[in-house]
Amino acid sequence: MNALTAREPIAWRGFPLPMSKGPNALLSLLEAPTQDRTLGPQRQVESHPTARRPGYRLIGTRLVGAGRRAKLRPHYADQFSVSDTGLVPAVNVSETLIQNSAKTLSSTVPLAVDRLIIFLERVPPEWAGPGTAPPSVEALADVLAVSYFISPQSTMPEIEVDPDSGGVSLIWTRKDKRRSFALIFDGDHRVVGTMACLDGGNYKPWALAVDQEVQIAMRLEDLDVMALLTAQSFAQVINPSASSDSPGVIALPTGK
Amino acid sequence: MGFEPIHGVHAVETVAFTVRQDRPIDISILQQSAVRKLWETELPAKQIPQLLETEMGPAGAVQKPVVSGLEFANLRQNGSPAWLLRFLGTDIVVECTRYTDWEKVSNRALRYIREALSALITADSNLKLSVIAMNVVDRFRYKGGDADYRSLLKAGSFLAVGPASKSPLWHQHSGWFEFWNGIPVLNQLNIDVQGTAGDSVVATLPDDASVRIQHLQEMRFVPQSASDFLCDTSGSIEATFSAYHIENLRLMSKLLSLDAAINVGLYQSSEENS
Repeated sequence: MNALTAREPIAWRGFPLPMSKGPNALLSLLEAPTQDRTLGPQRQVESHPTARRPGYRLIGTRLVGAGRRAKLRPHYADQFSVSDTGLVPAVNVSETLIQNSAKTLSSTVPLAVDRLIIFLERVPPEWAGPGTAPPSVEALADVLAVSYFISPQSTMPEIEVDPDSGGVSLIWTRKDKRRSFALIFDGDHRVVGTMACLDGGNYKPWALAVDQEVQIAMRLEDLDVMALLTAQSFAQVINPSASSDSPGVIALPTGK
Repeated sequence: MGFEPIHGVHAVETVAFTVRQDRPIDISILQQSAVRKLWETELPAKQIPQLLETEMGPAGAVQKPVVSGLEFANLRQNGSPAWLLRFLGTDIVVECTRYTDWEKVSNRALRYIREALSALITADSNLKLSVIAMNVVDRFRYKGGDADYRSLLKAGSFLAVGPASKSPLWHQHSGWFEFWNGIPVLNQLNIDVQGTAGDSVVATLPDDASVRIQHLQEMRFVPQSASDFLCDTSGSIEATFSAYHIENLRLMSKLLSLDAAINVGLYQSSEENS
């Protein structure tokens, strides 16, 4: 936020801000063409000269080597990086949205999901090497449709993109890594929900059309799922206002 | 074929919980309340609704001062609210159009109401309530084939045969009072068989027809201390909404045909039991 009041153009998390154009210039950054942003199959990308160019930042190297899916990992709460071989500009999307929101509209979807969609839309072709596909338009449309049913309190999921089909998976993993919940979008107007448990459990995977709002919401309200989505305990899920992080409820006067 | 619940497993389109104070809500208290941040997280679309009232009298129309409220909502892609918490005039309203099951929806709605009342009572310990109401709208969509409403509804104590037998599109609006421990509870039951094409008279049931069943229950009483309703007693807001829910289920079980009642989960079929 402070960057917006600075007089001189400054590098904002690695991205030079054209401050003379005002806050709206931030939006143009989001719409900037994505050419020249693919590094190709570099393994040690952090040492690649392009990674030091203004406006580009790459964090981490190859996380998924032989897998069919490559991971796109939110690096900070408000910043993304491609952990495979692709490269996207590290733009602080959340602050951009906040600036925009303050002027024109209030956010209608969770900020985390806003960021997720915008980021996925920006992934360029061949982001994970020659011949790899970015998230497909169909899969993105399905992610967007379902994003409205996900709790606004959800944390940012880990994102996987199938480099062949452009399918997208959103994965929420518990801190101890023993349990995770995934929503899988293959762009066929359906979403698959599944939970992986190392500590047992008999979660029944499901597949629903993305417009089956109530049925999807029912499954996302499952306590196990909610706990993973929001990274909270069961007690916090059941009673959010009792959470130690929340503002809390004012004590009631005693009645009759 | 025939009529199917709009959400497959149930037909609840909207459920709205209302609590009315005996005086206009002081929005500034809620704006300054710590719990506002929690609402903004869960219901991020914030608006300031306004109430315009015009009173018609012998001297003509009299414009009352504009009343501003406060609204928090979780919106769908098309901008309609899936969850809404609104403070306007004297009313605190929680509206859910993404009904999953009673326990989860009512718990969440009650939490918002409790949080709001707690903040308001802290600022004004003399706050009183005069109305507790719940409005449930069920909708069944016509899926073609059997257009006879009797596959969905049965005539009886809540549905007269007359209107329903006259034309494909019809409505029946009715109201009555029930008395709970001497306190009147207004009931309104509005059944509408509607098509979205318009209100032109048609000879056959249109393909886009649906049956809308609205059941309002509204308890009106002499204003009583709001804090009384937050205690864990049989007269609490929670107990009142639970009673409304049971009465709504009872009404629907008398109104729906056996097949429709099984479809929306009011009864289990004998196959499921076995």
